[in-house]
Amino acid sequence: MTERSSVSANCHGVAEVASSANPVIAVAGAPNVGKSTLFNALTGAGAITGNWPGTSTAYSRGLWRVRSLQETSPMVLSVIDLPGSYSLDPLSPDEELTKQLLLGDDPPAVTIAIVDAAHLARSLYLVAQLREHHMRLVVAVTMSDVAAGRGIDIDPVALQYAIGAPVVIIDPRRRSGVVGLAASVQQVLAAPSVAPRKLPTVAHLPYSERSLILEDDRFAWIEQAVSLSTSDQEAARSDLGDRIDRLVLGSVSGPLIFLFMMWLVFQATTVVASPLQDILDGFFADTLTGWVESVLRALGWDAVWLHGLIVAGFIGGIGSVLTFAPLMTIMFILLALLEDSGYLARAAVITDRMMRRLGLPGQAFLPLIVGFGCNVPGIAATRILPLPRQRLLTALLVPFTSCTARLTVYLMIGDVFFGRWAGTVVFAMYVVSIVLVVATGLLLRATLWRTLPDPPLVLDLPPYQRPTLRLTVSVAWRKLKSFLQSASGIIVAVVIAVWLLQAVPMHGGTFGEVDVADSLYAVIARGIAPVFSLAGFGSWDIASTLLVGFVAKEAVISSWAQTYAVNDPSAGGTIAGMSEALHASFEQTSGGHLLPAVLAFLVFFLAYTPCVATLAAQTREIGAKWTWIGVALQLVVAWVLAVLVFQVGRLL
Amino acid sequence: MVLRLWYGCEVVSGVMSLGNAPLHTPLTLVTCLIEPGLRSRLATLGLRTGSPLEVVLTTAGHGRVIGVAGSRIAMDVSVLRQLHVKLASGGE
Repeated sequence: MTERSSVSANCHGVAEVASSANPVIAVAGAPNVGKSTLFNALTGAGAITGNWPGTSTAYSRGLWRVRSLQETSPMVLSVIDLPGSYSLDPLSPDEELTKQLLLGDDPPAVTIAIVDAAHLARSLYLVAQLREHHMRLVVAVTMSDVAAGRGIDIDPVALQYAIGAPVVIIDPRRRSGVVGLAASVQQVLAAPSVAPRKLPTVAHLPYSERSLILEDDRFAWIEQAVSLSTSDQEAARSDLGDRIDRLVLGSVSGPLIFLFMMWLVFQATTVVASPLQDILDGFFADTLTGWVESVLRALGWDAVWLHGLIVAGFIGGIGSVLTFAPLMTIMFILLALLEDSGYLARAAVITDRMMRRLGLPGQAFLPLIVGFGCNVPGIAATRILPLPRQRLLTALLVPFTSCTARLTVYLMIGDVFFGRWAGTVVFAMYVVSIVLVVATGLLLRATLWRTLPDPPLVLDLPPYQRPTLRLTVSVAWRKLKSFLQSASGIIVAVVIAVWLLQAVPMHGGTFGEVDVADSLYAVIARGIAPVFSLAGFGSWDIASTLLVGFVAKEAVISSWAQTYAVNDPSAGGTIAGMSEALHASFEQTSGGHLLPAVLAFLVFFLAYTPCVATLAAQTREIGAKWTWIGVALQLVVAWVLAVLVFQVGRLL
Repeated sequence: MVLRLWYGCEVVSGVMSLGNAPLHTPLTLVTCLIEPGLRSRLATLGLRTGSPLEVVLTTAGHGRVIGVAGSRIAMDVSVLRQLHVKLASGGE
């Protein structure tokens, strides 16, 4: 496998890493042995993450520049971080891909197999299977500090002799041993591949018997390698991890600690990110816009369409993308911290039983919780799920979680129509949101996902570790960069499209200088308004805000203010003018059944497409086809529920 | 005394489901009444017939954390029910 050959088939948002034919180095190993940490240490911030072509299996690739043993210029290697795999007997699509990439027609030039020194025997199972094939192999031993703490000492020379491949002790978290690893990889690369280890003759036996004999042979080989290369001092094993686990996984304390951790994540992605988002929003909406406007004036480029395209379109669109940056950064840092510390695996154990009813593992709880802050990082957080189909199902459920952008509209509508019951109405919307997530999950589980396997929980709990700053920042930056690259195009395009619709005059006037009510945008809103007649809010002014809400829910109130030509309450204006206009509009369209129509609107507002940024995140994670299936699902659910609420409500 | 379970596997007395085994007691895995794929995965994690293990703690949701070869493996009730162990001392 060379860089050129593998990249040529590349798609799904994974850009080319290099144009030259760099030797491909695959990093393989079980989950939680430091595989991705080593990959990050080797490739740095330039690595990219995406889905393998034709699959929804995530992988990362990047360039590793090593000091050449023969030449003065550095050697460039293309490194692929393969999905975690305990063996070459796949139990999931991710493991199947790992097997295909390692043993397929175009195998990597060198495979680095990561083994955990603290659990050497079980880490060597994959190595035993790799040694049954013609390949260039280097074994990298991690966690030797953890092993030393348990009194286990590993002799790399003896292990190398037992395995029949170079062995290097590394600590990817502190980047030690990387130079030795580079030297070993180059030496192996320059030499012919090593002959496979000798296996018992089993070809004449039935498959089941054959696999048992081969399995026994591998375990015998592993036992020999372990006994040759390790000395166990039988030091007292620290039971600090067990003591923490007793709290973190306890029947009562476990769920409480989990809820506290989720609360922390929720707070960080809302309360902490919010002021940063406001600063960026202010910068784009005021500072940058003012500066660009003055430059345009100075250049004499005062055409309204040009001004609108640059300021409302490009700056507005790019501003929308970048205001998500603090939120996404915090989310990715928190995910990296939870994973690196070892807590995420424990959280999965706590919530496993509950989420299993939806056909999801316990980890799926996290993206759903984050979704209540903002759907965009919620979608991004689905990456923690092990199976692509679990990621897909969760990514379709996250949009039903009620984000804080919707909350501003609930509060305003509650204040306008329900007075002292406003708080109860807002609370009810969150209850409806939870019911929608569960009901949709059960519906999808019983229909499209009825064949989704329900694997039992067997989860290897990683040891607790102190997260490292460099690793956390590196992982968060790579994910943020990938999000910005993939989401920005869609968001900017939609923002420009909405601006264009609002700029096109339909009843005379000049392009870009037209009231919203006389624009193409209003014509489209009038076209779709009858669809909502059965739900009691079939007027163009209400329907138009649903179009704006498709771009960003935060813009709904200001859009109403613009439509009714009243002060924007979300920008400090009084609510009186808007209250009057909204009362009149809902009263008229509902035929006098005001409150059922308002409730129907709220339910529709909760359940339909969250925003274009969520769509961009979904497209990145689950592809365009499933994103649009999700949009259709949300619209159908939203419309049916809104009609139900209004029709039942007006009978009461 | 030999009991015959519905899976058709033979289990000697003194053998119990891992879900019923006492905490912090040395145990030995006797049988894995589990489909081959998962059985193979458990084997790679160090859980083979004859492996020494112990139940470290019971988790929320009636699962358990099993200590085997220095590592900790969380399992749910359905898996625990299908793994049979006996006291490592051979006590029956």
